[in-house]
Amino acid sequence: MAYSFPEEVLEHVFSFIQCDKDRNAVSLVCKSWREIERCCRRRIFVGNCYAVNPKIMIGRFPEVRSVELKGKPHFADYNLVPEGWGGYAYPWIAAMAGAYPLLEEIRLKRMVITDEALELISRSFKNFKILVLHSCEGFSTDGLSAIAAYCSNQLGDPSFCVTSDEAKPRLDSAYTG
Amino acid sequence: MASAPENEKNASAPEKKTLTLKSMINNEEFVVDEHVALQSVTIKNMVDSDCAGDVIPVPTISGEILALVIEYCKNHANPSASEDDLKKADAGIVAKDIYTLIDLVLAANFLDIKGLLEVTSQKIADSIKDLPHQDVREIFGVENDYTPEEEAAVRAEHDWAFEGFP
Repeated sequence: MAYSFPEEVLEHVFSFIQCDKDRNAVSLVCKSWREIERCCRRRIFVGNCYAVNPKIMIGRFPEVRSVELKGKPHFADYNLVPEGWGGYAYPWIAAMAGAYPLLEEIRLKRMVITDEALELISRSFKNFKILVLHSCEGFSTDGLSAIAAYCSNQLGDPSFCVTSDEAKPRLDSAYTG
Repeated sequence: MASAPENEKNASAPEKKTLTLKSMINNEEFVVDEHVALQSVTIKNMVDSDCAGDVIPVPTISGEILALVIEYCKNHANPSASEDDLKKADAGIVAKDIYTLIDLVLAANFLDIKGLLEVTSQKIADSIKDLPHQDVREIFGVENDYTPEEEAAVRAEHDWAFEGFP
């Protein structure tokens, strides 16, 4: 039996679907479902930052509020990835700064994030709430202080967290503020 | 609560106003207390603008579904119902098969009953969780308008980019 579904009803139902896998299944149903789904997806997980260009992500999902990105493969934790391999966060941050003014959350894992990128985060997203850098490198206290300054100027309670895997001795302590 | 002295005195005879809702699918009629029916914004607008006659026809909604809608409205119009009671009652109303839920969500949307729309949408989302897209397509009676190549392209994007893999 065929139903004629008003778009707003589908959007409502989709808003209760959290898991990526289910969201992706929904967008394979037909073109109009894909269209509705992509416009209301708020959270994106990119398991490999080189699997997709940030422009493609932004083009497909224009209303994202939360992005989780992974960079280097997990064996980077054991120093098995050469220096300068990549996993740079800057191109992603720069693209998102223009496209997602309402972005609230960035979670990065095993990526290289420069002070410049951290500064860009600190001034690009007005509702920004959560930054998590897990086993990331490439930044100094300058970048962190830009983020800290943002946090202290912000109402609410933005949280910011730098962690590293215990298996990776070269990244220092967990840093929370 | 502040008193409302301007209001008409209806204390003398609190006659209960009722409305009759009629399913246009199978002509079943339901007599409902007005304050129950008015939880539907659509019905409220009709009543407010005086375009509701004695019998309010409800198109595209079957008697079976309308009965569920009315049950929901009754529960939520009961001032002594606790939040817990309502939660349980809502869970009972949406404990239905997916096809009934689809009819119910469309009814909730048409009648503009926000709470019912929420609980039904949530339940539908839960029901299609973990289902492959072919099954979802079949349940919703949606025609696949992707060419095989287009579908493969969307799928490829998911596999690599937008899905959590370990």
